[in-house]
Amino acid sequence: MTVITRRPENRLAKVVWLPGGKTIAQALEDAQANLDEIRGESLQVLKAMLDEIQAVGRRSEADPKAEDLDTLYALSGRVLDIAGLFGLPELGQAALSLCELVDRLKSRKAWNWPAVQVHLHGLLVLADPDKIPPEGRQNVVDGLRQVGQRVAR
Amino acid sequence: MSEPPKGRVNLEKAAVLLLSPQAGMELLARVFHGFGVRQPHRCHDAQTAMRVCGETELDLIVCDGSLGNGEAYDFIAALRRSDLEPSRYTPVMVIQGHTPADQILKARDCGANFVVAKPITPRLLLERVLWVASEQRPFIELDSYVGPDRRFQNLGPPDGPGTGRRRADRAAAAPKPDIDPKDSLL
Repeated sequence: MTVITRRPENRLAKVVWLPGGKTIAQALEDAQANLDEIRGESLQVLKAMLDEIQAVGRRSEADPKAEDLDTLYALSGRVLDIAGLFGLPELGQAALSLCELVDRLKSRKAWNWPAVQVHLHGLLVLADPDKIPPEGRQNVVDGLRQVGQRVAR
Repeated sequence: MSEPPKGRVNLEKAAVLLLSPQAGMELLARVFHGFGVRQPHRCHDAQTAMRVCGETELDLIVCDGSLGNGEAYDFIAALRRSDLEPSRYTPVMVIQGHTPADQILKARDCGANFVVAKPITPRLLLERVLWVASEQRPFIELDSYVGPDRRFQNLGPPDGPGTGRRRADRAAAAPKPDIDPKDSLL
């Protein structure tokens, strides 16, 4: 087996430490300010996706269709994309847990409504983070992960 | 709450390519614009991204792993094996949500420098950009893999004089407080 080892220059390193630029704190502040400009519309999109997840989830209770599972997976992935950027990391983690659960169920050609249902409830709770303290939100996420792990066994 | 991060970052002259589905591109571009990147190349598919790689000397490529059917991973693997110099050596970060079971190996072996797990925050992203800028890993070419050397561990800085990174040294060291890496910027 031939192994070729090269040591190319790290082009990013050549620019990122150049004099000028901005402080790291300022860079983070500016990034958040740019996001906050579209915060309202992004949260509306997020809410619409969460509503659709609930509707698709409930529709799947007794007889899940393949396209519904695909929709559930895709919507959860989109929630995961957005949530962390707008201060809802636990909601993102819950969406990730739902993605994992749906993917697992699809690959096994199985269905577990109670596990999906508890995720739908978790998303509802975490969509309004002011209602529960941070440790409570993390407990919800941990609980969802445990449900997912149990299904994986 | 963690301390405000110190230090400066200059991405004004950085040529950055963002490869993301339409839905997530605006958010990603806004974050990188806030970091100081003037005009990132926005690509929604691998073909366009590869064309940009051939035309531009890039400093950083950021790919969203959720692009359909592992397209982002295929793009990175193809770029690493291409003859597009210097772009084939450009640092690549992957932003990854859930990876379907049938794409895990592809994601592992594509040749990315760093994988950032969603949910992302601006702080997490900038921390990983600075990490990628700091690394000096050699570039390896094998039949089965092309990309940065994967034989590395992120152990952080040494503990100080008299301590080492050998397994025995680490075992002998006293237990340290468990610090979440997300709480520290380089």
